[in-house]
This record gives sequence, C-alpha cells and structure tokens, in this order.
Amino acid sequence: MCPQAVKDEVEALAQRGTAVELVEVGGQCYVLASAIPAPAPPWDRQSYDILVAIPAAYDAASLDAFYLALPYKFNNGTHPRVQGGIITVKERQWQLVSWHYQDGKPWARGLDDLASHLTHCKGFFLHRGAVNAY
Amino acid sequence: MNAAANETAVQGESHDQAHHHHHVHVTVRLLPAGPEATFELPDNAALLEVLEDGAKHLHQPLLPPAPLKPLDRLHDISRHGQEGPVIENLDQTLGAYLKEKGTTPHFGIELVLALRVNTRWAVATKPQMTPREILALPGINLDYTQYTLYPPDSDKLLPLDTPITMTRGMAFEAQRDGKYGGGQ
Repeated sequence: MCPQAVKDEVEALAQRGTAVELVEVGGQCYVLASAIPAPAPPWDRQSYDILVAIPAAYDAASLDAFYLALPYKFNNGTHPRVQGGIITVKERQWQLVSWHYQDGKPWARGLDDLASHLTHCKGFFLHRGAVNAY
Repeated sequence: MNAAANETAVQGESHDQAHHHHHVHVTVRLLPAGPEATFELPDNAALLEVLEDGAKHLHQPLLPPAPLKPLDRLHDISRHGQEGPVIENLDQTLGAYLKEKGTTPHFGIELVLALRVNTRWAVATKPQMTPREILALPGINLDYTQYTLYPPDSDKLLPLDTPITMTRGMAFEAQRDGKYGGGQ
C-alpha cells in the first residue's frame, strides 16, 4: 500500500496538472511520471515516462534514482548509466537508472518532496550538473 | 463604514429572496491605473472571490493559478479613489468587510512579480534578483549550497550571483544535482 504522504503529494501534483499516478505492484509502491522532457538528440524522443520507487516509510525514508520506460535510444544506442535491473509494471518494461544525489546533498525530508525528486530525475535527461562523466 | 461608503454599498445592494442574502455591486480595477470592471457578488462571498472574479472580468490570470491561493493582492479603493493598503484577510465575507469603518465596495488588484521555483511560488522583491536571492525568498526557502537554479528544461545553470531581470510568472527549476552510480 502506498504511504499516505505520497498519496497526498500525487493528488496535489495532479490537481496542478502534473502527469503523475500511483502504481502498486507486489506490495511495492511507485509513482509513474509521464512526459519528462528530454533533448532529442541525443535522446530518441522529446519526453519519457519514468517510475520512482516509493519506500514504505516515505517520507521518513528518502527517494533516490528512478526507472526509465523501455525502449529508448541515446545517441542511437544505450546510455551507459541505464544498466540496472529491469522490472515490469503496467505491462511495460522499465530499467533502473543509476542517477543519484551528490555526496552531502541527499534528498531531505521537509525540504524535498516528490516534485523536487522529479526535477532531480529530469536533470538526468538534461545532463544537468552531473559531477562525473558518462 | 463611513456614511458615504455605507450609502454606496446600500445603493449597490439587491436582495436575493430565494437565498436570503444580499447582492453587492462591486467595482474592481487593475492597479495602478488600469481598466475597471463592475459586477455583482452575494454579500456572503469571500473577498477571495472578489479578487478572483475581478481578475476574470479584467481578463487577468492570477498567479499562482488555482487551486493555489493567489499571491496577487486586493486593495480597497477609498471613496476618493485612493488606493488603500493590501487587504490581508481574504477569507472574510464581503458583507462583513463592508461593515468595517472606511471600507467601500470598490477594489483594486495589484498584480505582483510572482515567480515559481519547482512547485513553490514567491513574489520577487526587486526587478533584478540573483539566483542566491531567489532561492532565499520566503516561499522558496532553498539552500543555495544544496540546490542549483536552472531555466526550465535547460542544462545551463544560472550563476549564483548574476542578476536576472524578473518578469511576472517567471519559472525556474532548482535541482539537487545528480551523479552517476554509487547510490547514497
């Protein structure tokens, strides 16, 4: 069952027109965020759907990383940081992306929320502020 | 309410027999010297409705958009046409407000330099602000050592101390920057 905190945030974001929905699979809660913008090229389309795994203890527990909807292409191939586990959710395949918060700047309860995490995830597609090269 | 204002309000009122409340003719103008609209509201309408309906009549979208509470401001206009202070309590009813001394059914809407960072809204305090100042605004309140400010959908970070000319409705994205691999 999805934590109440994320239910409240998804409802508020949806009311403001953000394309987000809750999905539960095998007891794991996810937020499916649609149409995250990406520059094309190098990506093969202008937006992607992503999944964010929500910890059962959210928002005491923090958010990190995300899954990218497959298929995708990056520079006509695969992205070197999209090599994590593949899951099936809503009859689609999603691959874990190795995109994390920088050391000393983690997702912080009270300051951050689902919306700020989605902005952080968007930074992956825009190659924003990454401190290490791919 | 003073006598003249009271008279104005009474003259502007009509009674809705079915719902047992009065209607008030209000005028709303865009400040400082913009167009004016006249319309009716029941006296049990909140002043927030005066602001919202006034903006609709003046074809001016409020910021932030509904369902968020607008940052744009409602002022009373005196019977001499002078702009009064900001009306802070927009939850009070029009009828209750008009019973206060010195009030009139004439209002002004001040459109502020509202800006958005992620999902947070604030009012710019100067025509030009640096990212450091924007992040520190009440309502945004993000630590500049933790977040980087970007234009929407851009990878070009905004230098911390380079002023930006503010425009109404301007949007930014503050991001905790990321790294590849390793997790937390």
